[in-house]
Formats: sequence, C-alpha cells, structure tokens
Amino acid sequence: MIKKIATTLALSFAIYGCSPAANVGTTSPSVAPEVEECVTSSTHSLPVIANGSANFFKRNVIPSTSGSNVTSMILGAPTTTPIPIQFAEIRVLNSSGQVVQCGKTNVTGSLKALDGVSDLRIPNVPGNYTFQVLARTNHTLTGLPTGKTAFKIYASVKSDIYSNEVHAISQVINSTGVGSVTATITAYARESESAEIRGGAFNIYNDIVTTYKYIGQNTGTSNLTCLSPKLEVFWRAGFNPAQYIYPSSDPSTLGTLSFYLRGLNQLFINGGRLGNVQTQDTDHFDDAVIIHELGHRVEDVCGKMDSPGGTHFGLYRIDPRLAWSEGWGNFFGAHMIRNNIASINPDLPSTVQSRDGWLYYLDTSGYQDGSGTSGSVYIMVNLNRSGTNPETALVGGQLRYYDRVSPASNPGEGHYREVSIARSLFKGTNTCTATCTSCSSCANNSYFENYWKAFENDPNGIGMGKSVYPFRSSARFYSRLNQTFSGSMPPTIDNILDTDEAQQRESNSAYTVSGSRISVPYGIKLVPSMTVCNLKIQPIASAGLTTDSNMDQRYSNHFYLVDLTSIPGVTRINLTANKISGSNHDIDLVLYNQSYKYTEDCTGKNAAGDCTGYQRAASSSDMVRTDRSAGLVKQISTINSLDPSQPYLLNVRSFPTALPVSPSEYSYILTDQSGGYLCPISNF
Amino acid sequence: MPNFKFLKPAAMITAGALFGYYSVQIITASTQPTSQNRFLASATISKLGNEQFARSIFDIKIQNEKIAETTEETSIVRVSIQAFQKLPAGLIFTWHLPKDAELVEGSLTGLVSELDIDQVEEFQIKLKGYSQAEQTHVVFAVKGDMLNTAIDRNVIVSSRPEDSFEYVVQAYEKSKKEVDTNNKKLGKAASKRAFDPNDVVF
Repeated sequence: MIKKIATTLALSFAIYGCSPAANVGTTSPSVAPEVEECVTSSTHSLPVIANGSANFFKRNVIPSTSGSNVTSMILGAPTTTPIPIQFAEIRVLNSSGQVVQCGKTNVTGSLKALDGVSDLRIPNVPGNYTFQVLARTNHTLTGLPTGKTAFKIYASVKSDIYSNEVHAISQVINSTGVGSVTATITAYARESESAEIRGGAFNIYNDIVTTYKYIGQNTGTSNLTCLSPKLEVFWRAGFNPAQYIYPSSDPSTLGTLSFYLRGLNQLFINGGRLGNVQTQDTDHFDDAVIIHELGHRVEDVCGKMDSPGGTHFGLYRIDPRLAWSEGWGNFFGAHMIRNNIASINPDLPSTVQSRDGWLYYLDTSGYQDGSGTSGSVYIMVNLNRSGTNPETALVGGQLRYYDRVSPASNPGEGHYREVSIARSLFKGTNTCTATCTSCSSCANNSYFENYWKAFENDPNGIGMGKSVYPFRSSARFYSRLNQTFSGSMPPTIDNILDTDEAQQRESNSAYTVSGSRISVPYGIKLVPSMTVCNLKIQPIASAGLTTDSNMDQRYSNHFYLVDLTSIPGVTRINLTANKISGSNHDIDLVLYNQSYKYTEDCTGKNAAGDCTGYQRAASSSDMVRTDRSAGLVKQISTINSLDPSQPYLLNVRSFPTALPVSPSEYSYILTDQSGGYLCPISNF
Repeated sequence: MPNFKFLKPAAMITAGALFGYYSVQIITASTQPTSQNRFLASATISKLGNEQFARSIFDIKIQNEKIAETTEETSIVRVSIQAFQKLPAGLIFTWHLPKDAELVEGSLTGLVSELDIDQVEEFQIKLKGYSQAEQTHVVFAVKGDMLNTAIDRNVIVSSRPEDSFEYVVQAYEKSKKEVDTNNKKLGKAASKRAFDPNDVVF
C-alpha cells in the first residue's frame, strides 16, 4: 500500500511537472512561441458570407461624489454597452480545426476580410465553423493627417511569457453552406461569464488601439513609425506579474505590479494575486494604469527614456529623470481616457461626466459586484487640482499631500515631483472648467501636437528625445515645448508652470535672488565664461516629510551637463564655496556617467521617509570623478581623459557635517585649471 | 462505486500536486529575501501607495497551518508579524474570509500589539468553508497610521496555492536556476534570466 501511494504520488508529481495543458497545477508551464499570424486570404467559390461583430465588456466604475467633486471610484458591475473590438485578427476554422479564412475586425468591430473592408468569406461546405477573434493586431492605420507617414498598431495580448498564448474569444456557428452566417463574439468581464476574464484582455487591447489612434490623429505630420515594432503585452487573470521579477518571493506577500520592460517592447499588466481578482489589486480594468505603462513604452521608442527607475510615492522630491518619466505616464493615462471616453468607457457614469469628465489617475483593488467581492480605491489622483493644494490622503486626522508645491517659496521644485509634472502636463493641454474644489484652470486648448514635438526623438525634429539633450527631465521638456511655439510659450501654460506647479522655465526670474542664481535647471550645460557667475546652493533643514532631506535633489544638489566638446582644453574643474548662512555643510563635486543612479548619502530612513543616518558616498560605478573630501574647496582632475563622445553630469552636492537644523546658503564658483570661469549656458 | 473509484485517484493526484507545491515552497524558502536585504528586495516595487511604507516597518507572513480537504472540516490559517522597527500599538488587523466561510475560533479584527524591533506577533484563526475542495482566499489586512504615515497592507493565502500561476513561475524559474547551476559546473552557458530588474519600469 505504501509503495502504491509512493508510486502514485511520484506519478502525480510527474504529471504536474510535465503537463503542458493548463499551465496551472503544474511545475513546468508549456513553453511555445506565439502562434503565427493569420495573414492569408483564402478564395472560396460561391462562398458563404460571414457577418457579425466582436465586442467586449469591462467593469465600470462606481463613483462617490461630494458636491462638485468625485471623491472616489471603485470597480463595479460590467458596462452595459458592448465596446467594439477594433482591427483584431480573425481566424475561421472548419470542423477539422483547419484555418479556412483569415480576417480582421473593422473600426466598429464588424467581422471583415483581411483588408478590413471586404466581406469575410468562408467555404460553402455545410458544417460547424469556429470564429476566433484574437487580442492581436497588425494593422496599418488609415485616415491619418495629410503628409503623415503610415504606421502600424502591432500588438498582442498574451497570457504568459512561457506559452505565449494570445488571448482569444470564439463562437461556433453552423453553416448550411449557402447565403450567410452571423457570429456575435463577446468577451465578458465577469468570472462567471468568462473564467479567464477575456474582457480584461480585450480591455487592455482596446486601450492600446485607442491610444495609437489618438496619437495618430493628434501629432500633425510627426513620424510615428517608432510605434510600429511589435508590442507584447502579458496579462493573466488572477496573476501578479511581479512574480516574474522575483520568482522566489512568497506570492502571498509580494506586492502587485504592472510594469514595462525597457528596451524589450513588453508590457506586463497586473491581473490580481494567487487567483484572486475579487478583493486584490488588479489593473486589467484600470485604464489609467494600463495607459500609464503604455506611456513608458511610447517614451522608450518615440522619445528617450532616461529614468533610472527606483521608488516613487508621489509624496517626495525625487530624481528629475524618474519624476519626468512617471509624470509623463500618469498624464498619458489620464489624458487618453479623458479624450477618448466614447472608445474607452461609453458608460462612464454621468456623475463623473457632469463633474468635468475624466481627470484622474485611478488604480483600484477588487470590485463591488455581489457578495464575496470588495472594491476599493488603491490610488486616485485628480490631475486638475492645483499643485498648491493637491489631493490628500487622510491619515489619522493628518493630511498627506500628493506632491504639493510652493511656486513662490520653492521655485522649480515641481520638476522633481512626478504628480506635479502629471498635473502640469494634463492642465497644459486640456479644457476644463475647474469646478472641483481646489482645482485649477487648464490651458483650455489642445497642445498635444506641440507636446509630441517637444517629446519625440525624430532626428529632424526639435524634441528632447534627440541625443543632443541628455539627462531629460520636465525642465528640458518645457524648454523644448517653448521652442515648438517658436519661443512664445502660450501664457496659459506658463501660468500653470509659474503659479500652480512650481515648474518655472529656466529663464524665470524666480531663480535669481539678489543677483545670484539659486537653482539651475537639471542638466544645463556648463560652458566657459568671461565673467563670474554668481551661484548659490541652498540646502534645507532636516525636518518635515521629505525623503532624504540631507540629499534633497532640488536643494542640496545642482546638476550640470558636462559636454567635453563644449569645454575644450579643460582638464580640471575646481569648486570654491563660501558659507553665507545656516548649518555646516561640505560642498562636494561628483561627476556621473550618462546612465547614473544617484548615490545617496542617506544610510537609514524612518517610516516617514526622512533620513535618520548618513555617510558620505565617495564612490560608485557611476561616479567617474569625485572630490568628496571635507571642506569647501574641491577639484576633479583629468576630465580630458574621459570619452568626449559621452555626456557627463556634474553634481555640485552639499554634505551636512551634522544633521542641519536650519536652512543654509552657500555661494560657489566653478573654474577650470587656469582659473577660467565655468558657468551654466545662457540658453538651456 | 464508480465515483468512489474515481475519487481515490483524484485524491492521490491532488496529494501529488500538493506534495509538489510544498516541495517547491520548502526549497524556495531558503531564497526568500531576509529582513537585512528587504530594502533591496522591495526597492523596485514602487507603486504609489501606502503599502510601501508598511514594508519598511514590518513583515507579514501568512500560511495555511492546516488546510481541510472538505468545506465541512476546519482549516487553520496563521499570520506572523515581525517588526523591523519599534511598532506602537494601535494598528488594526482584519481577517477577510471567503464567501460562506464560517469562523470557528479567533477574532476577525483587533489591534496589533506594541512590538520591539524583531519581535514577532502571531495571529491564528480556525474556519470552515475554506478547503482544498475549492480555490478560495483568506486575506489578512493591517491598517492604521504610524509616524504620520498611512499603513495599508494585506497578504493573501489560497486554499489551493498549487492552482495559482505564481506557483508555476516559482517552480519553473527555480528549475531553470538548477539547470543553470548544473550547466555552469559543466561549463555550459546559462539560460537567460526571466527579467533583469534594471529593465523594469513601473
């Protein structure tokens, strides 16, 4: 008996270890390439015409309101209006499982031939035919603005990285062999109607198609062939894709995550955790999250992604490259939803529509749809709010703000805050009535085409994606945006930057106090100067809710682009600083490579994110030259031996000799080995 | 009788699956992030949200102490909270049970005790209606605030963890790693790691 049990156990283990079938309950998933695209149009004599359409349903939002404000939204029951599945691949199989026709849905979701226009024709042989609609497309967009180069929506939504199974829905239709047949193929949102929740897969698909269509129509003649390479999306109901990143982590406690794989054209959308979609964080119906991740892909292929990655809470000043990338993603999601409601959610509740429409980054957990379910808001941020009085989270009676800024007291700090950047981008190209409490006026014009010109990497354009603009941030973006208006930025945008979001542009007078420059735009080029430039760095006190305040990226650091070809003959950079007021700091020099990760001096933080211990980080693989000795006179040498084809970032950094109890101010000058002045270029 | 004949092998297969699942758990347990490197382990898990604060303050583990075969039998779920820093009293814990489950023993909600660094507090419930017969979930959530910071974290356990795709990924990546280790000994090239965390953008 024992032997029998052992044999059976071993056999069972082996079955689960080898079964390629379902990919769950196994220790080894089926591994296969993605099925080939159906691209052959078959000719059939006296064919039967296949009519019909493909649609999907998604879970709608349930808003809560107070006066003119939408205070929260959770996921609820599915929408009632079917949403067409556009431009999706169709495969028709006969009763033997052979593909007898390929086709494509059109813009209304109707089943059509591969050209998207002609009738879909199947053989005149009576019998059952399976109509499959895949969450995959390889569609060249038409009807683009005159002069625009054609580009493709080329994407597939697949269940996992091993099986590469493309999500699909199907219907079996019996044909008499004459006349026509009609198939209505639907992807549902409820588990009870679709165990795999195919509605989730097609919602992700729809967000991609809708976004590409919008970009195609709203970027003038800009070349969008950068979008044409295939995008792979991986999503599975009930599965947390963070497990791919940390495969040995306990899935019970591993945080849920959607993400983009840089350079690989792959998106991963969170489907829940351990099979649970009812109460856990899921993103397949969170359009803002899906399009946020898509925004990263767009930045990666059509712009240039400099983000070093890392944590971001929307509460602290962070690396401006990270702040820009995340702010762009947050904006991108909210903007696409707001401007494509009919395609993304035709049943958006009137209570949201009447309150100025969609203004939000929204991430939900679970849903409310019968017993055993529990929907909640994970994150909701209104991007129409003023940066001086933004969204808050009420914690034990105390308010925490999503990237609150003070344009007058802290000019430029918005460039270091992702939610502030998302707000400025959103308000800068939308029309809003600002009816919600503490909301701001928008630019009330559509400037998305200008945004794109400022963003893109087209070598013939002026966008910051070009290689001449390394160390990209919102400071660079708004500088380039100004150039898209030939140097005459619309006052409505500047007003948002100056009075609402503390993202003043480089030439703003707020940066100059008593003749000294107190903040420089991140990554401004350092050039020789005949005259001294008065520069001041103003480290703040170590107090309040600011992550790593001793090394605050806005206050304790200045960052300059070092382009060796712009400072020919310079072998050494000297820094001479003088204390004006405040606590004692050393002022150091660090030269970083292009892909650097900022090396923090903070060695410990409390729960609020404040630095509680610190130690001078004297070296890292990203630091190519440093002088972090004690004092106020520093130098980095032999910079002429560095690769002149590479950009470098000079970090003028304060290091507190004791936790600073008061705000401080230090003046400094930068010179070369001959005493020649080095200053930020006048034209950013 | 035919049903009975069918059920016995089914039960054996289920037992085999569980054996496989728990074998992987035992083996992978040794590679879990430790409290010492928890910041590194979670550094790139960075959605906006209060959950992230909680991760730096305490660790939660949840497990099926005993999982029943049928819904009529009693299962036991245990949670342990380990403080990474001094944890004041006042955080509220809540157990969320599956639909139609019945609490047999324990409290569904209460307060987490004051904990010193590295001190552990355990919670346990006994319940019916949560068994291997059907995949359902128990969630343990901790909410509150600490040092003006919101705490909002939940952990989840499944009655059939072997049915989850997370388990498939765990097992498959582990087996790949073992193959790589063997290949390395033989001087063969390693397979590509699933992801390089440096490429991940949230």
